[in-house]
Amino acid sequence: MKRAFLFLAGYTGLSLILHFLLGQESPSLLKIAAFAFLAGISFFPFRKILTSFTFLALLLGLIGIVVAISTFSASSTIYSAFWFNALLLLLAVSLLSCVLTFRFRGLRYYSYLLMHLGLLVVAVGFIISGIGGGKCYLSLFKGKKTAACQVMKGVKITSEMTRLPFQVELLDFKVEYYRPKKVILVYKRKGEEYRVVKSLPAEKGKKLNLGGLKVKVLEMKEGVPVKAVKKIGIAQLDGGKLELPEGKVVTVGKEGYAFLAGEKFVPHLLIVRTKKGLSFYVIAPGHEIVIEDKLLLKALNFYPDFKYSVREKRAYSASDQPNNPALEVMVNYRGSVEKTYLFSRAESSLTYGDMVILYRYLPRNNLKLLQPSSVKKEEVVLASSTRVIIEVNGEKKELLLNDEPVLTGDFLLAFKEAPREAKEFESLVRLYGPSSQMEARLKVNSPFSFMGYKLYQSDYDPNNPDFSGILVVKEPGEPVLYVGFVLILVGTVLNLIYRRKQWAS
Amino acid sequence: MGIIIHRFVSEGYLYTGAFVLFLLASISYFLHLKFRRKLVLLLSNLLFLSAFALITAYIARQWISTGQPPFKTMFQSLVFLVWNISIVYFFLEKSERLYFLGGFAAIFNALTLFFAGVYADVVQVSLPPALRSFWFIPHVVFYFAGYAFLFIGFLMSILYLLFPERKYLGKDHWSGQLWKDYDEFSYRAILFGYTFLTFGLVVGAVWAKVAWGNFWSWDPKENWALITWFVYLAYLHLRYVRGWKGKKAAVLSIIGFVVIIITYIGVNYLPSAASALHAYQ
Repeated sequence: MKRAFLFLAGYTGLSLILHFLLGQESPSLLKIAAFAFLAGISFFPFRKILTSFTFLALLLGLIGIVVAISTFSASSTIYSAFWFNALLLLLAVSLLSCVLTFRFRGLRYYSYLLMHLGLLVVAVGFIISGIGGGKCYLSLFKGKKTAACQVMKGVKITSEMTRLPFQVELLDFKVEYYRPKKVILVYKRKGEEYRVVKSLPAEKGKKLNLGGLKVKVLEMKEGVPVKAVKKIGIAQLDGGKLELPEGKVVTVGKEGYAFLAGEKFVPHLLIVRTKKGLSFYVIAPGHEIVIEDKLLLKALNFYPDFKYSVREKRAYSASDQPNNPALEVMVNYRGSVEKTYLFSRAESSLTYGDMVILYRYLPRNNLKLLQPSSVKKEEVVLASSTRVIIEVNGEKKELLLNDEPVLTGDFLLAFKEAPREAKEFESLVRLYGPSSQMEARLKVNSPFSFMGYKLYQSDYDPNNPDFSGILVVKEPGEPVLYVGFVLILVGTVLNLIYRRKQWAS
Repeated sequence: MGIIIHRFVSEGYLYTGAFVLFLLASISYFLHLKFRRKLVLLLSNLLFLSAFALITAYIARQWISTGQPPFKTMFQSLVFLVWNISIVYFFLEKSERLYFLGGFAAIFNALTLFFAGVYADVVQVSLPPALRSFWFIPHVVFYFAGYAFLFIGFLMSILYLLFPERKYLGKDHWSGQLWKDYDEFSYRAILFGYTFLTFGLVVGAVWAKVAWGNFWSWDPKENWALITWFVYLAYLHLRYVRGWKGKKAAVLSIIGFVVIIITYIGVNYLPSAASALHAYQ
């Protein structure tokens, strides 16, 4: 016990000293020599200790603890550290020492030998890959050719560059997505908030039965027009007739006129910028207006001194002073609804298609609000959306995609489209070697070998369809590792057969 | 709790049915220990197998309706664990006459199905490209079969520590069954479990090479799977070389199962989980 412990402590100490002496950037030849030295001084004079059971238990325990602790850090670097790899090397050396002492016969001998030899072969494979292998990350852009590759340490991409002996050109890149799922999300009230409990695919005939809630999908229809009612006030002005769409500011001469039913003074001005130019609107909390016949905007609340409580997840006004005026609005654009804020002070804006909406709080404006003599109503089709008709506890209800949810008792039902998910992504590349050229298709789970390197499809960028991330790996120990795996598995099965024979007798 | 019940109920009659039948099976198995009637045993078997059939149908329905093996999320994996424990237990009952374990296995399955509600999938999940591989199914199946065997081994170790006096009981004791030595039996289950873990580990490494370019990435899940493997490796070596049996072996088997739980569930709560390659959703 004492000797095993002292030896392990001494070895670990020595590898830590070497770790700091050799440093991070030291030439790898020196490191290989250091590893060989460590293996040599443990195998030759201390073989007996290495085969002791106490020693193996201590070593496995030490490696286990180090590995366990490392999982608590989000970016551990110990796996590439010299001292950690020296410990793994010691495990391999002690394994070799043990194999040499095996004195068994028959099935037992072969099973033990294969299992342990297999592990040893795996260790050799990793050593070969560690010495002669490498890994780097290739950022490819469509139509561009490159050989510059970012060196990787473990799974981390470093800023260090290396040149591959061949060039890679991205000819084409495709991402295939799963069909986006439309679902009815069921929320249940818990205290002050609603939590999602279940989703129901929005397909005809789908049913859901929760305690106190029965839902059945009756019909789903796409291309349903999203309508809004636009009010147009008709007023007499300077002897002429003026038509004023609700909320829209119209200038006559030097004067600006607007119509917003029942309002006397409107400090909320919206500036809408499109390719055609600027147009102005006024709005007040509780009103909704149609902008450019495309968008329905409803003002919900006004906060003169906007603050947001992260803990309570809600906005509030810190005072009555207009220090940070903000307007909470609900926007329906192309059948999708969102609740958001417009800020007067910051250069913030909202963009919908080619429309940019800005907000200005004007406590003293000289806008004239007209009381029209008559109001005519006009129906406007904003966009088309998807609608689902469901039966909730025997009652028919209609839900529009991304629109306001339906409330029944303690439950809330909302019709949503789940974010799209990638199913497959694939690069078509051309590889330019010094003497050969070839085209290759790279898919996840199907790498391509070229000049001793393997190319793996690794990443895509949902925002840039012309980008493809490729891993380039050189692993000369690969065939050795496969041999090791087969040996381990065969040995493990033989061991099971041997034990079962033993139990039977 | 209310949310769990709602999610649980909404999984449908196959799922709730399996839960109820596992619960009844466990009662019936415990009654059989008391009354030793063949009829009661037959009823227990019937209930247990019906529950197993329902859970099989539930998994099959999910597989067919989504067209994907349902092993992706924490919830799906828990259901698959129940399926594996059922098979392993039933295999052991028939080959080793381990009736007395039936009650424990059945109640464990019922509770797992119930509390799986915490992780129930709200939105159907699609397989990301890396999981769309030939290796996915064998990797998962080896691991879960291994976990099931190691769970049985753990159960035997607990029983050993609770009732050490029933260590070497021959035929016809108490419930009229052929009793095995808890300790010996725990070891056998662990040997099977260890074999499956080794297969799962090797298959995982081969798959990782194909999908990520590396056999081993020192991912948190991989690290804890390695530690788990080390613990059972130590168990077997200590038993063979140092003759560890009885109490010491039972304690090690319990430690091993605790490490499995860390590997299986605990890893998802580690700070490194966010950037990890393996993590349940």
